[in-house]
Amino acid sequence: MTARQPVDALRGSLDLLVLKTLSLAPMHGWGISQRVQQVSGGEFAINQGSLYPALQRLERDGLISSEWGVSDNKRQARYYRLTAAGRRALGNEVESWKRFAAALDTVLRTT
Amino acid sequence: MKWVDRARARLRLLFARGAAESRMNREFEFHIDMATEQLMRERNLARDEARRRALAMFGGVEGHKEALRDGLGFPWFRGWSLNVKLAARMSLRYPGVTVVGVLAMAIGIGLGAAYLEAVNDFLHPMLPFDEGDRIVGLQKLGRRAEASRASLGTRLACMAGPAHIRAASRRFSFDQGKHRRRRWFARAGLRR
Repeated sequence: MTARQPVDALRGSLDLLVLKTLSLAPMHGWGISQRVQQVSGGEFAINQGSLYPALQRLERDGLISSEWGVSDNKRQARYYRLTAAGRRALGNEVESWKRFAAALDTVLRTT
Repeated sequence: MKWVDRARARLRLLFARGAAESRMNREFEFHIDMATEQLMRERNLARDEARRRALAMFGGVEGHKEALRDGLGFPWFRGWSLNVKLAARMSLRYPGVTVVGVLAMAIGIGLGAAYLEAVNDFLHPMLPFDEGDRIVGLQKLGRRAEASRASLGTRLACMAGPAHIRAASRRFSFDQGKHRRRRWFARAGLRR
């Protein structure tokens, strides 16, 4: 098995990160991992071992679609984009994440 | 109906193995190339060194491929052709085991079939005609001599009850004939 993320919370939110990144623009796998790393200020370094299976899983569930395209430096790359179902799922996931974070915060504050 | 779509996707991928494999390869190639270039840019490394580091950071390529392959098709299908070849080779290398296995299966199947046939004849006995289980009436048409020898009633009505049919088939041999009213009748003579 490939190396897992040390923080297991990230594993559950990997789908969320990917969906959110793709909601801004279609991009390829490398681009997704770079963007996440940049935007999180280096906090999240996506493990390659989990990125591509996650992309495959999301595509199989119909949340994203993919096609071949040409990258900035004239290379052929597989571009992923969000589908309508993916957009709905992203909304749901963000909602449930907010609820989760709020509940955790409450618990941590009171106990 | 998510599981239906997922099953359909898996089924499609099952038959598109070659395309999926090449897509995996190209995607990984692209990723590693981009990582190599980034390393060359940021850390001023030579191409070989950068590529080596990029590969190391990527993790085992084969491992990733396996993880992706697990998501394709149905896992137990994937190695089947190899398994069939292996099974054939092993059967040839250990003929004793093969013979014993084949004999066991043959005996089992034969016994089962024979038993089923016997049970079937018991449960659904048939007179030896077409649609023998639907015989409604049996009429004895014989010559005077036969009739006196047989000493039976002239009409034997079976409503296809198994016991009656069994008794009838034991004692009579039949000729099949068609009555003008389109019901099957049989001419019965004594079994020789």
